[in-house]
Amino acid sequence: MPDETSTQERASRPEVAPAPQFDPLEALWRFFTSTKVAVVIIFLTLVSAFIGAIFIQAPGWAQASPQSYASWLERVRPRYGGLTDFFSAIRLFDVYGSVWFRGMCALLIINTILCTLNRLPGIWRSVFRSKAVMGESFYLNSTNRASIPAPVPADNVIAALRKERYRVTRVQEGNATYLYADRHSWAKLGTLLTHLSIVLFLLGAIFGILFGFSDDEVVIGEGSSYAMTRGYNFQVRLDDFTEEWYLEGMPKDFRSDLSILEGGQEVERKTIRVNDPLVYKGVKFSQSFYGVAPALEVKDGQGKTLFADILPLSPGGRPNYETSLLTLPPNTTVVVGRPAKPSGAAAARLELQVYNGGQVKDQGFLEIGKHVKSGDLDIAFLGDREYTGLRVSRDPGAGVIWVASGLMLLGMCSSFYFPRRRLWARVRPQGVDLAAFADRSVSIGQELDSLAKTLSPEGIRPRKDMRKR
Amino acid sequence: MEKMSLYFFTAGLITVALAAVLYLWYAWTRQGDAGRFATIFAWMGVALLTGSVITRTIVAQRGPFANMYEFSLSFGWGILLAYVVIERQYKLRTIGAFVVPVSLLLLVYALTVPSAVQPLVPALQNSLLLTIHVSLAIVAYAMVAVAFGSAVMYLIQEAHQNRVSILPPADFLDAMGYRAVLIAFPFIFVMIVIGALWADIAWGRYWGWDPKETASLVTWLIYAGYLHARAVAGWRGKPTATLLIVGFVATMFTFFGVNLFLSGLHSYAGTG
Repeated sequence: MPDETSTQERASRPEVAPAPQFDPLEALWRFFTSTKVAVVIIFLTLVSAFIGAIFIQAPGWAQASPQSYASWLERVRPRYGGLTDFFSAIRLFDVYGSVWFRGMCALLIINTILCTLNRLPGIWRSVFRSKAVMGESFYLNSTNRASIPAPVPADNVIAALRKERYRVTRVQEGNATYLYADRHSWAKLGTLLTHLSIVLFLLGAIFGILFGFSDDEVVIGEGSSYAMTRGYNFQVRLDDFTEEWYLEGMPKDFRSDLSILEGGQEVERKTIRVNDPLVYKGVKFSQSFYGVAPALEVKDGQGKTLFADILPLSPGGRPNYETSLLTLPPNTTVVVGRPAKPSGAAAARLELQVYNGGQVKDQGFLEIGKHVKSGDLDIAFLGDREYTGLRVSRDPGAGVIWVASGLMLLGMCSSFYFPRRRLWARVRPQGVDLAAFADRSVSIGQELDSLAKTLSPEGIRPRKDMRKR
Repeated sequence: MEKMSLYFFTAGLITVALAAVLYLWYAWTRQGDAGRFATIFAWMGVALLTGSVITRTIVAQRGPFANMYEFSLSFGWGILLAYVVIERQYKLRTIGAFVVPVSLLLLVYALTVPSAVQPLVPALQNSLLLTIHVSLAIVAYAMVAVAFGSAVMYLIQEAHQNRVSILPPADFLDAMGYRAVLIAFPFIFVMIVIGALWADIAWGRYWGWDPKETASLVTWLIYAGYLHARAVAGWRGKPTATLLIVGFVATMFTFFGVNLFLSGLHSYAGTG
């Protein structure tokens, strides 16, 4: 990446003549390998990411259904006013899931790959095939140069360079010896490593999205079980949920005692905390949130239990109100609700509506500990129960992300902390000419001066500039 | 012990304020005495703030990394320490006029937020990752502040055609900013990676576009832009110095703005 010699090098290379005919592939290649286009794409990606950081992003529950999204939108409407619907239409509340943001990321990746491929031959050449024989103008025009106006044996120059841990190539032409010396030439490959890692980051992310999953709001009431979907054949039971608070009023600990059940048998047990998830068969259960929800029991005419679990409420219906709905086959829907953050009498009863095929069949209030009949259904409100909110996820791409991070760091360290130095010398009977390039983090000019000083015979002063000869 | 930490902090704040004034005075009047005293005060400031950080660590039984007061104290201390080391290394005093005030601002900010030692909320109860994550941030932010100071001086020097004799030559400042970024850039990166690793453990995902995550990524990308602008496009001087200032503003936004103005998973680090 920050190899600052490349621009100087490129300037000395002749430009390739443009293709005579219009070739769409060639044009596309040139578009994506252009530095200006890269800068524009990076800038636009930055701006979009920034927009996502500034605008409130719709949380997972809001994106679950159009209704929940609409009710979420009403909540942020006071903040964004008349522009709310416009912002929503251009996905400003879901920037990172939007087509335009993902498209931008895809463009950035294509650009990274193509730019790297484009620079690969040049990097390769400069690492492995540098010319030792350089002409007069090269020595005259180098930014960092020095000359010794007296004869110095070529072997002395080579020895001095080797002492500085340079790798030296020697070419003899007549009575002139040309030397090319290189130090940390491999560090330049760090650039390839960093760009490769960016591609790996993307692949890891895509792999995770394609082959992993993340259910962000899995709710399990105390004593209830959650049956894994997605082809997994086990259940997770919440045995107990505990919350602890500091005297200062800050949360101290949230923990869920979980059991994994397979075929009715308990196969694993763990108390999970925010910083200590449970992983079973590659699936991770992370403590995410918690709450209290009403527990309902619904029986049919024969006394068979159709439902017995908590029904977590979410905002909806009307302001400061929370509802939840329970669908019972074939076509019955039970809707329960109560004011948000209820206390006293409000917490002790639920507003109940029973729909049958879209028609309201019954409605009224259901008191705690009581049950009501609707048709042949028997609905009981057992009281409030604590529940735990888990993120259940599996990300097979995460490993790739950590490998990519390691490669990125390795690449950065090699190109930053092992700055490459390149030095050319022309050793002739009338004297020695030196020229060097290095990354800006090295004071190569000073190094060159001190090298010239050590090589100079007694009484001869090296010159900064070469006299025209 | 908590009181002692506060006494150290207050004494450190006053000392750093004096140092900042003296550095500015020195940059303005070029009086050697002012510069020498500025250096003495800066070192005293480092000593006092180190005392404050250590006593705070003892009383809280963890690094001072858990709320806005502790972050500001740690970052202010880190920036000052980075500065005095660089001043000693390069025998440069004028850069102090631009870096020490940044440290001072952080310390003044720390003064305005509640300083009580608070217990760790569940998400932060991972002392190993917390320590690494925030320590990396301290080094990164210190280097970013040094790069910022160099960039500001560069722009001044450039506007006056290198004739501001009290400042180092423009060329040197350009290289100085670059070297600071060469340290800051990998540190920001590793800080983000450790953060992601931690998020994977604590929140079950390594990346979630949380405002803090996004802002730190954007900051890192700005410095990536700076490095590429130099290496690929051959930019030097004024445009790259401007990028360093943009990067610093982004860093400050990541530090303050995200916690104060935006809600997200990092908001436990807010004013409380």
